[in-house]
Amino acid sequence: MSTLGKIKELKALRDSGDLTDEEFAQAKTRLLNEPPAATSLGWVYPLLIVVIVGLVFWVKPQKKPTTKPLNNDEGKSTQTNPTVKPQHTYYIFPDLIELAATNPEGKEWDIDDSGPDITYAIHLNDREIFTAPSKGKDNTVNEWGGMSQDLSLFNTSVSVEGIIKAALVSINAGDTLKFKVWDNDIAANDEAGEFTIMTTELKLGQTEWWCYGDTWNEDRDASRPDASRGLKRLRLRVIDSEKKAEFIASQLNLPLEKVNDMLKKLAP
Amino acid sequence: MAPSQLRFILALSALLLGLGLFAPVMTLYPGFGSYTGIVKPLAPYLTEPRTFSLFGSIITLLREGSLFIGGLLLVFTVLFPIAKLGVYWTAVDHLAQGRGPGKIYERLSHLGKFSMLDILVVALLVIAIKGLPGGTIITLEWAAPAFCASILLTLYFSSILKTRPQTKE
Repeated sequence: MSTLGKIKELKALRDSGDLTDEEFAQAKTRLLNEPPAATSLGWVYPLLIVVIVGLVFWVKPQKKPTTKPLNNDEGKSTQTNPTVKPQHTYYIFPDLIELAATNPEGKEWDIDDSGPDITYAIHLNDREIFTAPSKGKDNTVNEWGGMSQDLSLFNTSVSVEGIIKAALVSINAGDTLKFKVWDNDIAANDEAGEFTIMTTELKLGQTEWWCYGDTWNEDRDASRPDASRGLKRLRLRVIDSEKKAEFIASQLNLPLEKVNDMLKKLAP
Repeated sequence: MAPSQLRFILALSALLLGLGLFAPVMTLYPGFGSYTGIVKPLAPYLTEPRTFSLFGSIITLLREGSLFIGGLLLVFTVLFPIAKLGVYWTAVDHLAQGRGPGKIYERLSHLGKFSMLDILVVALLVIAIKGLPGGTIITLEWAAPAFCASILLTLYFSSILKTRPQTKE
């Protein structure tokens, strides 16, 4: 009720004799001197808080999601990648190889000025155990997915038998793995270089190795010039053989349960 | 509970609501069933995971012409919860002055049943997650629990405000 309304009510009480003139005057004075009820602006605060949070997220760039919720331990290379366990088996393959613009002699890769057709082989203690399932084409960089699949487009079935295209290696102390890389030519292959690592030094997931002269560095060293001849970079992928299903699921973007079912069906 | 504590609950609820609306609420990992292996090399962008916020999704719905569902979500997941918090804050101010919580609060109490719609939105989200075809996976991000916590905190606040005697601070 407004102040005027209240005064009218008091006046009515005085007229009816319920209030004396003196009581009426006192009440009126008190009413007129009473500070008005504060107008509440409290409703603005929740709105402000929500708007501020919204602005923070609008200004701040959002992080891109990881490629897959499954297969957590085989992500991008980091310093904290766990090392492999002795007497345990792993699938190993280079998922990326990059060559410099010229071969180790400093000449063009091909006489027709086209790029190299990169391919590789994996040797365990100087014995070849795996060759690349495919080769690059006229490019100084090539990627391998570590998988190939037999797709029957007629009945849309996918066979997972032998789907992982990588070297299966058992970790034993003293064993060395050598990755020989070359440009595959019709006439004569051009050696690009090789990368050697002790099997016990392998790390799970992806590790990127950069060539600097005769030495290899894990991750790129920005303070040194990149290799200008032959093999420049090799990204190694190591997958626990017990997590084969997770790897297939992540590469093919299939639910893990489905891959497990398929593997069970194919098991002898 | 003192008005300052009530205001703290409301501020916390508003903060959680803001996070629930604008932070990543879910990530979608698209799947195409048996064709996923074929789609991946042909159109890799289709298989790339994407993250959404509740507010961003509503704006996308409205932009793409889904005015009814977009409008419904905008009203009951954005505007109504904010308005509810605003009215509650005003009610606390009134109570601190020794007055009643106010007419708007009483009216809002009648509209209380509609506040269940924001819970319904979360429930629908969960149903959608369980029923996606083609091996598509949705994972809930941290904004989803923040949103739910905000709604639950508001419900809790409403219950304590109803039982609270009017006092002057």
